[in-house]
Amino acid sequence: MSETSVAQRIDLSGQNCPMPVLKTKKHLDAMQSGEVLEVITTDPGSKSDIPALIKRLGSELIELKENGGEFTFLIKKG
Amino acid sequence: MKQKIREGIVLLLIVAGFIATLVLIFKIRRYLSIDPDTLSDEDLAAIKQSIKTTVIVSGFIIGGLMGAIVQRSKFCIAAACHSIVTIRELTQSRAYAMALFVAILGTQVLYRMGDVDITRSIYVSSPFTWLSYMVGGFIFGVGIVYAGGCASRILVRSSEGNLGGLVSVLAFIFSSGATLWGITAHLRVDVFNSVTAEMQTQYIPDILGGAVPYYIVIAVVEVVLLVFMLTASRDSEWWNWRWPVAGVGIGLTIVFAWWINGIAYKVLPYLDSFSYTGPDDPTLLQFWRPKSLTFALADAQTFRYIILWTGESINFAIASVLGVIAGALVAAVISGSFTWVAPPLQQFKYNLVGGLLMGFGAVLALGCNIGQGLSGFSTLSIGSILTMSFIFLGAISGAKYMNWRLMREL
Repeated sequence: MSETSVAQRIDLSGQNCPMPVLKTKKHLDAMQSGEVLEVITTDPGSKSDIPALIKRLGSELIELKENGGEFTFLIKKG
Repeated sequence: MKQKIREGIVLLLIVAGFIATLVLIFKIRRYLSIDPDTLSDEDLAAIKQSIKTTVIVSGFIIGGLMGAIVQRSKFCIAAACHSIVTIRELTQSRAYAMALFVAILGTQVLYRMGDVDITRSIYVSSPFTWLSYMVGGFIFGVGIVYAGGCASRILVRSSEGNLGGLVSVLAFIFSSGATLWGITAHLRVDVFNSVTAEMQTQYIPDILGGAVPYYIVIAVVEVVLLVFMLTASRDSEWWNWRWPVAGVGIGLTIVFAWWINGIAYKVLPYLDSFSYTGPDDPTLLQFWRPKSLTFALADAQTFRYIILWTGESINFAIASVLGVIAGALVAAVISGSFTWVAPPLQQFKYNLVGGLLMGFGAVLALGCNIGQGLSGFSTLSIGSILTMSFIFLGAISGAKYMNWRLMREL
């Protein structure tokens, strides 16, 4: 598998729910199908909220990394 | 693997906390079997002091339990409301329904047992200030979306090292204090609270006047909550054991808080009929009115206690706030989830505005989402249910507005 190329990257560190979810949705809406969005958050709630959003939007969560209170999501727009 | 052990330690501490609280409740309850005539004045003074200390210690433990459970589970009534709009997800709402289910069942059983006289609580005995409940609830609801957390969640978030949460807490203390004692208290008392409806009690089974037996009322509410919990789709995150357990835990903190306060209120006039003439005694009601957890008044009281000290004394509410902070901090440190986080400018503004709205709304509505939404709701008070409905409406509206604004930016 080739390395995923990230089309857009947003850093939502320090933002609390529901902002990370709303902003992720906003960026995904503006992207082309198949493109990859990288989202960085620090809100513990986003760990379950963002996957739930992705599922509802029909996109795909490629990867979720957790590192010292920071979450990195790789999302492929469906 | 190591993470599992850390989480296990927190879970063990939570279980130990519940057991300790039960022991303290029964310690006070045992005084009911003493014959008060056999007590010397010294004995009586010692017992009264011990009751006071026991209630404060249990306030700290119960607050700690709530702080730890909220920290580990991310239970949040703000999220329960706005996730309906943002992700069309009901898992948090179901966790709230579970907390409510346990809180109502436990509180109503304690009332029927005679241990907790909920009819003396502020939720049932206050005048039906419907305008305050509606306006306060709505404003509070908008506030929790902007602050990014309900009254307990923002305290917990501060204890996790989130400075945005701390901004919300300080703003909440500032505006709730002003609405309790200061510049906006005037608005609350003279404008909003002057609008009331004639009503003897706010306890729904009593309002129905015996036309419907109380157990039918309780059963209907409980069945509705149960159906809501059980209709989650099979692949829902709700079926992960963490959410229902968190709901039960939160519900139990409400029940135990009612129990310890209710039993102290019952024991004191029984032992000391000289100081307290009976359940209607004004001094007894002033200091020992049956209560459960709430943060609307407690956060500001805690702040006042810390900055004034002289002339102030610690009570259950203050101890419970300190407990939430301590419990969340311990849970965050042990589980390795404590991290310093600073908010970006936009979030900082939202935290500030949200906290200010929350403080005014909570005091106007006589309680926050914990005070009215769980403690009050568990008494089956009509005002609490009205307030919670408007908190919900406010949060939904706030989330829709925030979404609309964000979509237009950039």
